[in-house]
Amino acid sequence: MNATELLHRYETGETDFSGQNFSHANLMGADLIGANFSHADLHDATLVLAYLNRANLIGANLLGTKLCGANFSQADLLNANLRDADLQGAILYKADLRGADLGLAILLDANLMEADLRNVNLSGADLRGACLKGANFREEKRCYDGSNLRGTDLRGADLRGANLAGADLSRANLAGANLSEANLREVDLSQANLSEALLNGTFLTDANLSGANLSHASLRDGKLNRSRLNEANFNAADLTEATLNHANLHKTSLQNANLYRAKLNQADLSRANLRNATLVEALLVEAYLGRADLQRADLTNANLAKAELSSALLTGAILRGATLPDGTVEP
Amino acid sequence: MSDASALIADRLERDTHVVRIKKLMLYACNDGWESDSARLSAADLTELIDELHQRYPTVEHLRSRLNHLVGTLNKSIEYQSVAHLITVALSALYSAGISNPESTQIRSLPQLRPTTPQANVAEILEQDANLSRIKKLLICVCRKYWEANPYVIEQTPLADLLHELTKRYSKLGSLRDGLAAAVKTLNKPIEYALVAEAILQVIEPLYETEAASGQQAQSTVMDGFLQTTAQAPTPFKPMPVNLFDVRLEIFKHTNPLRAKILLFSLAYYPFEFRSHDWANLKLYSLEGLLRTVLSQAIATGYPSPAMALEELRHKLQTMAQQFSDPAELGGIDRNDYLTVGQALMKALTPNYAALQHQIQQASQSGSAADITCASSTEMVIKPPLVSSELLQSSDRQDISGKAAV
Repeated sequence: MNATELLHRYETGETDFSGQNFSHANLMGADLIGANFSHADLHDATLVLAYLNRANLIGANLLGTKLCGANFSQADLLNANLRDADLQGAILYKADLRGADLGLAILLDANLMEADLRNVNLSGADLRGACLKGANFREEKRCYDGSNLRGTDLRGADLRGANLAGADLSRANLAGANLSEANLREVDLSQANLSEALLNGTFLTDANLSGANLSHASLRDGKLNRSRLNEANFNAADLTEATLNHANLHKTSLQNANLYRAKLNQADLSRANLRNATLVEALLVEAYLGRADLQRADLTNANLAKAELSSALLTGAILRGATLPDGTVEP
Repeated sequence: MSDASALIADRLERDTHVVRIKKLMLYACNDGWESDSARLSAADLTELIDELHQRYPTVEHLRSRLNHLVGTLNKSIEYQSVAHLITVALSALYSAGISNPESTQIRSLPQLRPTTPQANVAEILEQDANLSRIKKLLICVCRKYWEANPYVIEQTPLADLLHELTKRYSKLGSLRDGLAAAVKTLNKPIEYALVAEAILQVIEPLYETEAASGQQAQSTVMDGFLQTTAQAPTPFKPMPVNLFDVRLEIFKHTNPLRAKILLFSLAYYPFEFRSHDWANLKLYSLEGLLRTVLSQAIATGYPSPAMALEELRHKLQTMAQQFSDPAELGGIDRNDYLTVGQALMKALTPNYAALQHQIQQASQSGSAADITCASSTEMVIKPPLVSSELLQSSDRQDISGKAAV
């Protein structure tokens, strides 16, 4: 069936095109709302600015298909193959993309608000500036593995309130992205770039951020209990009132970071670099600061009760009003 | 209608480029691009000439307006000569004085030779291989924003920039400081320090009187750059402009691709759905396009944000009106883009004053690099298909952003 015939049949009321071959077809701007293309072959077809709202594309082959600006609102793309597809500025609002393969796809400035992206493969995909507000990538034991976002380019993407629990975001580029209020529990963000990202109120408990770059990022009120932050870069980051109890901050760089009123109880800060950091009113009860560099850090009114501080470098540090490991309070 | 205009119209009518002449004249009169052949042939040249004559008080106004408009076109090279033709033809109206139409004759004005010292300096700089960078740096120093559009750069007369420069900096010393301050905000400071030096060398004669009185500063911009970098290990970073909420509103109410197409057309040239237009569009993020359009709106210099916003609304609407998806996209429906324009305005209006303030702050606090700093999405993709007429990769790199470094 060719494109003309397809459009003609659709106009006369036929909607079932499942399993058919439309590869290389030109369907630019076509209105195919609600049509059934399940398991159809649409590879390398052109569907720029087409209307596929609520269409059924389960298991469809859309390899390398041109889908710029196409509308897939509430479409069913379960297990679809969208590898290398061009979805610049496409609308995938509330689309079901569970198990879809979007490896290396272009999703620049695409709208993926509230899309179901569980178990999706987005490795190496280009999602710069995309809107993923409220999208769901959640890992579910025994049902869905964590989504694969290894090396995905998410610069400037809007992921506010998205659920990425358990996703693999290792080496992803999230510079300047907004992840405020997102759920990133147990995610793998090792070696990821989060410089200048917004992570205010974000849940990062048990996350792996080792070796990640979070310089100039904002993590106000961030939840980072038990997270692995070893050798990460938090230079000039804002961690005001963030919670980092039991976190691993071994060799983490926190130069000029703001940790005002942050909670770091029982955190491992061995060999961490906290030069010029602000730790005013921070809680560091039972924290381990073996050979940590606290030169010129401001620890005014901080609580260091039972902390291991004996081998820390404290030249020029301000300890006015701080509670020391032995329980005494500095004047 | 005057006899003089009729004479000019008659002459232009016989020109082989008459269609382009009409298109450009209509563009200058209606502020919109006309490509409908019926309407083009219906347009009366004499009326257009009269209208242009009324609209633009001097031939210089006309020249600069036409040059500006040409800069927005994708066939700017072709239209440059058309603009020149129109200016030369209409200069007769201006030079002869319309009060005496009998004496009006069509002749090309002799090429004006530079007479002012500024024009002399402009002529020297005009020969420099780094002309584009010279202009970019001057725009940055004079107007406090970073111009990335190669057309705009090309179309900005050097003499104007030099005039603004000498008005802004009355002393060579302060100019040197101003240039040094701008240079250190760029992500290619070394290259631009050399450009600044070149400018200073040529520009010195404009400050001769000062030099004579022996007040000339001895340090160079390069020195200044080296000093400041040595002293300030953590350079000041302007607050990034946060456009997440604006973008969210756009995503909620319109097709992001169409929003990009409309913004792209406003910022650069009317998108025509050709393959190289698509390749070019992919170089820009929605965020980057928004920034460019907002910066341009500010650069128009309206006294209040409300007026700048109104002008933006007008421009968006005009652009949207002449726009539709091509027929193969099932579109002739102009309403598509009008709706897009409305959605964009709806997203920009609530916080426009604050946005304008933020963008201004960012550009004043040193940042040519502003466009850049937060714009991790103002990305550079290596464009295999990009038409050389639009982008030179070096231009893109200049604004590619410190965030990525």
